[in-house]
Amino acid sequence: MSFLGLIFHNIAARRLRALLTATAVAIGVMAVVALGVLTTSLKETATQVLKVGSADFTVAQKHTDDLINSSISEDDIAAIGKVPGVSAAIGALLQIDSYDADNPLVIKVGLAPEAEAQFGVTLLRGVSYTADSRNQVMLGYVLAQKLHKDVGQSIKFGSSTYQITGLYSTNISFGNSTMMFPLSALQAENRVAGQVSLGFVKVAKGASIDKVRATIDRDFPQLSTIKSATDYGRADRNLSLITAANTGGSLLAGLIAITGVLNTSLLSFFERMREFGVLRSVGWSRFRVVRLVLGESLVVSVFGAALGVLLGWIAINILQHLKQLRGVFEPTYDIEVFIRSLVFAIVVAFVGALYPAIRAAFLSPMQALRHE
Amino acid sequence: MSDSAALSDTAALSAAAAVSPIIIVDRVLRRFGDSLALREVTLSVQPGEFVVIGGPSGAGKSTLLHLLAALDTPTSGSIEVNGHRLGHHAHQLSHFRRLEVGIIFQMHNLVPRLSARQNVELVMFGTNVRRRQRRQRAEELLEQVGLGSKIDAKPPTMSGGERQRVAIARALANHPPVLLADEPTGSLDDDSAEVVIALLEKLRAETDMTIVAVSHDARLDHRADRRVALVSGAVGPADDA
Repeated sequence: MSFLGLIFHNIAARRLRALLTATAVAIGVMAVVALGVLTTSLKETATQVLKVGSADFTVAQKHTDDLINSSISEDDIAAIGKVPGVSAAIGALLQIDSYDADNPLVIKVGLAPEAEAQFGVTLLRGVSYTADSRNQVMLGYVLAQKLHKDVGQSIKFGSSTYQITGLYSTNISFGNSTMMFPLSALQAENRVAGQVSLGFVKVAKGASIDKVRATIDRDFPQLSTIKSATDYGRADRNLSLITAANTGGSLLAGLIAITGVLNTSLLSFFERMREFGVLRSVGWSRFRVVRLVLGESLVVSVFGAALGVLLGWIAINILQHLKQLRGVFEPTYDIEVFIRSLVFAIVVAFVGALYPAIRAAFLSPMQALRHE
Repeated sequence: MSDSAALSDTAALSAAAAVSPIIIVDRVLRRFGDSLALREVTLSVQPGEFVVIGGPSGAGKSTLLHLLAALDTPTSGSIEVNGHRLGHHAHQLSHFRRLEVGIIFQMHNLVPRLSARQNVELVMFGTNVRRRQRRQRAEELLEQVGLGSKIDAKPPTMSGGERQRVAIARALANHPPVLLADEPTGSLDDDSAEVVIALLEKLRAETDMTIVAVSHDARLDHRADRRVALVSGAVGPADDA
C-alpha cells in the first residue's frame, strides 16, 4: 500500500462524508466557473465594439456608467477627424431596445450610409438605407434569421413600421444581431440630434497611434480614447462592477466552500482521534499526519472541482438560454477560468483542512488513544 | 546441577552484568495533577531480557510502559532506551517510536477499516522500505503469527486473539530491539492468551529482542526472566521469575 493508496483507501471508506465535502467544493467551483465565464463573456461581448471595422481605437465620453450611454457631439467627431495623424473618424449612435418578449435586448445602431464600410458592414442582400430616410432599416443577418424577416418585408418597432432594405454582416459577431438605422433617423427618434455614442478613429499610415491618442486625450478633455479591454474597463463603470461582482462572488463562494470543508474535516477529525493516536504511537511524524489529512482533503477537493466545472458548464448553458441574456451573452470558455477553479479547489482544500490537520498532528498519543 | 555448571552459570551472569542495560529508568517521577503515578522509579533491563512488570491496578505499570514507549514524558528523572535518551523533540520521538520500540496494546489499537496486512504496513511508512518490500514483510510477519489465511481480513471480522496477533506483527515490522506489551493477554480468553504468550516466548527464543510486558497474567510471569513489582508507583522487592 502506497501513501497515496492509503489516502484513496481512507476516502473510499467514508464515501458519504467525502461526497458531501466534494459537493461543498463543487458548489463553490460552480459559482467560480459560472461567474468567471459570465464575466469573461460579457467583457468579450462588450469589448468587441473596440474591434469595429478598421478602427485603431474608439472614443467615448469620459466617466460614463455604460459606454452605450456615452454621448459625443458630431462636431467633436468632425474635429477629431482633423487631428494630425487621423485618417478617418466616424460616429455611431447605439441604443438598446426591446423588440418582443423573446428578444428583450436588441442593439440599434445609427450610422450614416457612407460610414458603413469603416464600421465593418458588408451588405449581404438588398441595398443600404438612404441617409435621410425615416422608415428604412437594415438587419444583421443573425437577427433577421431569429425574427424570420427578409429584405422587402416590414418590421414594427414600437409604434413605427420600418421597411427592411438590406441584410448585413459585420466583422464582429455581436454586430450580426443588431439592426441599423440612418444616423439622423435614430437621433430624431431618441431626440439626441447631433449626438453619437462612440467615435471610431482610423490613424493614417505611418502615424503613431499612441501620439494621436495622447493628442485627442489632451485636446478633448471630456472624451476618453479606448484601445484595450483595460481602457474599456476604466471608461465603463458597468464592466468594473461586473468584474468586482465576479471577485466578490468568488470570494463568497470560497468562504462557503472552506466552511463546508472545515466542517466535514473537523467532524472527521473527532471521529478519527483514536486512529491518529495509533499512528502517532507507532511512529508517524506530525508532518506525515498533516500530509495524510491535507492529502485526503486535496483529493476530495480536486474531485469536487471536476464536478463543479461540470455543474458550472450546465449553469452557463442555462444562463445562455435566458431571454434576458440572449444576444448579448455568448459563452467564452477562457482557460484562466478553469485554472482559477483548480487553484480555488486547492486553496479550499488546504485552508479548510489545515486546522483539523494541525490538531491531528499535535494530539498527545495517550490522550488520543483514550478517546472513545 | 554440577559445580562446573554452576560456575559456568555464574560466569555467564557476570558477563551479562558487564553489558550495558538496554533500558535505564533513573528516578522517574510522573505526576498527573495532584496524583503521583510513579515515585522515583529506578529500573534497568539488560538486552535480550524478558521482564514482566506486575502489581495491582493503579500501581503505575501502564504509565511506566507508556514512558518507555515515549508516548508520555516523565515529570522528572530520565529514561534511556537503546542509547536514546528520551527527550521532547517531536521528530526524534517519532523516529524513536518507529524504529526503537514496538508496542502492543491491551485493546490492540488497530485501524478497523484497514486489512491485517495494511495495519502492519502502516508502521513502515517513513522508513526506507519500499512498497513491495513492505507488503512482503507484512505478509511474512502475519504468517509468523499464524494469520497467513487472514491477511486481507479486517479487524472487526477477527477474534480478539487474532487482532492481538496482528498487533504483535505490527510491533515487529520495523525490527525494533525492544518490544513493549501493555497487558497483551488482558482482553483475551484463555486459549487466545496462551497463543499470544507462546508467540512472545517464540520471539524471545528466536531473536535477541528485549521484552517488557505489563501484565496481571501469572502465566506470563512464569515465562519471563524477571518480574518487577510496582506498588503505589514505586518498585517493590526484586522477584526473579
